[in-house]
Amino acid sequence: MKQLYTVFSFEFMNYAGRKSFRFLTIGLIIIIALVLSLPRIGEAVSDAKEEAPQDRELTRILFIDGAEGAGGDLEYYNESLKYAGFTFVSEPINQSEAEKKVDAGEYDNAVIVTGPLEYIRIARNISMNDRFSYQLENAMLHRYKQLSFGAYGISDGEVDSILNASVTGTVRIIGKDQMENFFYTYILIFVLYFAIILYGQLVASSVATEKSSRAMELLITSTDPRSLMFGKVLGTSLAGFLQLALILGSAYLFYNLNASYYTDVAIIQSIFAIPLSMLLYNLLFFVFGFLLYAFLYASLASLVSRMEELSTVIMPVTFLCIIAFMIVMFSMSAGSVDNLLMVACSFIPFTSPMAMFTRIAMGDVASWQIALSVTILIGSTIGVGLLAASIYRLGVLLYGTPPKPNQIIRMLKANRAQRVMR
Amino acid sequence: MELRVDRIHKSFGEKGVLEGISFNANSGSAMGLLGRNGAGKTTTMRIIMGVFPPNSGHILVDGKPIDRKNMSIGYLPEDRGLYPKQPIDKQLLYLSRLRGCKTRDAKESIARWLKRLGMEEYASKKLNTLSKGNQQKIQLVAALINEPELVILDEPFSGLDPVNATILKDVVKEVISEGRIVLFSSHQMNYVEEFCDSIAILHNGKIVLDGKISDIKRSYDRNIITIRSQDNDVIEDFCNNTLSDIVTGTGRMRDELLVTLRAPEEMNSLVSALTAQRIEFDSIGIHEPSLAEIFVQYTGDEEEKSA
Repeated sequence: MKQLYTVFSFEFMNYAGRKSFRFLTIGLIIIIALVLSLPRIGEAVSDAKEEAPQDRELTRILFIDGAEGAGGDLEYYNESLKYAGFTFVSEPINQSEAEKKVDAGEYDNAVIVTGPLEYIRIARNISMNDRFSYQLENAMLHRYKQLSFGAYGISDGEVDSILNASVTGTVRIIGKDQMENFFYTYILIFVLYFAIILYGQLVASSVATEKSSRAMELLITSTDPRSLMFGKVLGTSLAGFLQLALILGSAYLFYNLNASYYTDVAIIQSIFAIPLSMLLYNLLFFVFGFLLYAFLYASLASLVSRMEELSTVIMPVTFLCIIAFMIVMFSMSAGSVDNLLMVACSFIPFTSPMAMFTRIAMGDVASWQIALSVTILIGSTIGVGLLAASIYRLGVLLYGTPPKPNQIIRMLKANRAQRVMR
Repeated sequence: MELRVDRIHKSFGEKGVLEGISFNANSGSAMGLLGRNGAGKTTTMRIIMGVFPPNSGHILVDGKPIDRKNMSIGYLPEDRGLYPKQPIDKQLLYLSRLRGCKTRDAKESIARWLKRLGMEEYASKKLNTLSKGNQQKIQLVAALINEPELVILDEPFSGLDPVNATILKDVVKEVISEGRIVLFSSHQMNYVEEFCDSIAILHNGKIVLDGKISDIKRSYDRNIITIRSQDNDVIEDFCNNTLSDIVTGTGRMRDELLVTLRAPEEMNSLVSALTAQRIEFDSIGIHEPSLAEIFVQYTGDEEEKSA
């Protein structure tokens, strides 16, 4: 136990103590703080602008009425589009003269209304986020509707109240709202997937470094492989968890500091409105799912002699993780998180951290199924950890080509038999 | 304290590596484990350290099965093994604590050993910034920091310059004189002769020769005499012509003359005859085979032996 702690604290400090680790963590926290505070910063900047003398220049538009008021007149457009920052000026000129004036920069745009629902726009340049056509068309359409309804003797005010009518509805959800849970489930699954791929490979490369530098040989003669394996995986994992917790925690903090700016952004609100029970479930599946993969990575990494071989040897584990991720993602997108494949996957320890969590969050799952899945997961994690320690012990002796799976099993059996004999 | 390796068998899969090897090592002396590459030296050492179990056989300390929890073992592996990118003091502390040492004691011990080897200025440096010889010294510190009762040194002198080799030699001698068991493997026979009282030669998974070096050498024929003289030619003629009733042949080895006698007892007659003839010589003695010669004799292929 004491040795386990020694290995654990050494491995933890090995990562948490690194400058790169600290810089990355602090850097990410700063980025998150900036991104989540953007609305506040934006407002502060625009506030500062508005304090300046209030004479915002309106964009000048040359207006030529070619439909004799059938498509709306100068006064109508000036009134309708003033709020959008446009002012319309009329000149008795033809199209080619208008083009010249726009080209000379006298006007930003010229509009020739040629019919109730037709117009020609003359512009010098149109920017990526140009909204003039859209606003003009809206105004034109509105005018058309007003005039059309007017023909039936309905006043403009009545027209507006009919056209702008809205429905008020109340939805009572008895089960789960997949739409609302989708985003946080998606994000949590994604975080787990990335944590396994990133930190799992960190564990793998740390073991492979020990192997290739032959430090493993001294370690294994100084303590038992179980302490080494568990200490190493737990220490590196805790460093990873800490980093994730700091990053996610700061996201939560900065969201709450700026919560008033996100009241009408449903997605962001739903992400940060995770129920506590979901968070705890996620923590449970996250920790054990991650450790399970970390043990797999560590045991395979102990079989390589050179760093170059590492990526080939750990690829099957990475694929396993990708497959689990894909199954969950496709089921989520299809909206059927309780399909047969997902049910099966929610009991297989390599896929259950993602599959079962998704089912809990978005689907309909009996509590005995949750209990069974968690039990299988925890049992497998411990089992794989012990197996990984045995493989690690074997790995110390293996130099040269990494062995094939059946060779590993044979060696493990032989080793066990000898141990029992003694 | 006595370490006994008792009838150890070990195979990896189909391949038998050790076939019932036994030898003893005692505290206060060094035991040389010799053998060609792949003879099973490292496997034997790993079995002693408990990295893996033997198929059969025992490791005994004072007649009882070894208790590795209560017996500290220091190991210097042949393929140097430490973290290249970690500060030296940090990894030494880690190793020492893994072996059960308290942090404060470990720090003291590390400081003492680094000073003893003249490495204290490198304490906070990363290992891979040091020269090969200095890395080797750190490796020796790693083996010795916990004052182990059993010290296993696998090729400790490979890659060292003469000055560093001397420093290392002094330390190893000190460790031996402190009454610990030192198990030593090397291909450099001069070091083995210098440190080890006894040797065990491993060949094809078996011990082909073991015992005290002095006894082993004594067991060889004692009828070959080595003479060192300015007048080797004169002596050779004299032996072949005048003393042919006691001398069966002569030969040269570097600047020494080798004289083979009919029987070891004839040495006195040879000395008297040379003195009577007033032939001057610097030294005369019984020719003992070098350890290298013995090693080749037991482990070499037929061609190498005859060479």
